[in-house]
Amino acid sequence: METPSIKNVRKGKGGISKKSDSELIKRYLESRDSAYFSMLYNKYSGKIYSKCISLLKNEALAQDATQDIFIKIYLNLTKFSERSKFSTWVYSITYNYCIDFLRRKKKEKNLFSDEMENPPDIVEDVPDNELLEMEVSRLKVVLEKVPVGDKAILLMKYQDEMSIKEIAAALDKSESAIKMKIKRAKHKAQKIYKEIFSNI
Amino acid sequence: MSGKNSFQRLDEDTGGSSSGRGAPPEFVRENVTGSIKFIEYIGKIVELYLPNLFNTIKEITNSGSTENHEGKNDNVDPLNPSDLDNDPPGDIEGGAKSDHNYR
Repeated sequence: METPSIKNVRKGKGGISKKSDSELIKRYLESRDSAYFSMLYNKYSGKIYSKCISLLKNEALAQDATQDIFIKIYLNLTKFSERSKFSTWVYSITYNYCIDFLRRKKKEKNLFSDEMENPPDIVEDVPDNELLEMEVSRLKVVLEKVPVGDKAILLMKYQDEMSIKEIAAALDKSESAIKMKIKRAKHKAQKIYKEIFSNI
Repeated sequence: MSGKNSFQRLDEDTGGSSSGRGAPPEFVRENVTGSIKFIEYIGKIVELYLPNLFNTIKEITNSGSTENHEGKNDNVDPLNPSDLDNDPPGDIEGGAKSDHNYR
């Protein structure tokens, strides 16, 4: 069996950088060679850190979160069943970690729009295109203004392309609840966009 | 056009971070690598000692059960099938019965 050194893994030698996630996991579980896990780390740490800093808005917290999330991944790797993509599983852990952290620390009063005291009863459906074709710099501004839970759910849906079923499983909510959360998050994002950019 | 939507271009736009605050610093990677080594070490300890711990708990449970089993198991003759039927509760594996079957 190919057992690359950590040094080679970091340099991407030995062609293992081209191996799929499931192959790396399989090889790691068979050999317990941390080089394979390091490969997964190198592939996903940047993305996880990016999501953490985007939701936690603090570099030190994001660094700790990235580390904690990888420990969770490490400890639960044997439980990964490949019913979903590894990336989906990893991102689910990441979003859950950040949302739990924010809830625990009560850093955000209302994580989701529909948790606010008086959410609007009827929410008009915002076409996906309005968000998906938004100028990136503007989208970034909008995402900084929406409640962090809304941001997480929009990233899951439109950045990570997770299905409603996958998001529901990740957040332990019903699919209908997730649909409503997405609808409200889109509505909130559109409202903020109009408030900021309608006069420009 | 890359075929990516605005959400997926957030990372590209800021060089790997949707917040514009860069990639994870190298020391985080080193720390995580260190943590991996550490939890591997813990993992080994768990692997080594957890089965023993379970056995110890099982033995304690069994011995406790034996004491409360009206003394019937104090003089169990492992060669006597009728005694083996009085396995103390908690012997999930049924090791004694396996031996019996083996014989």
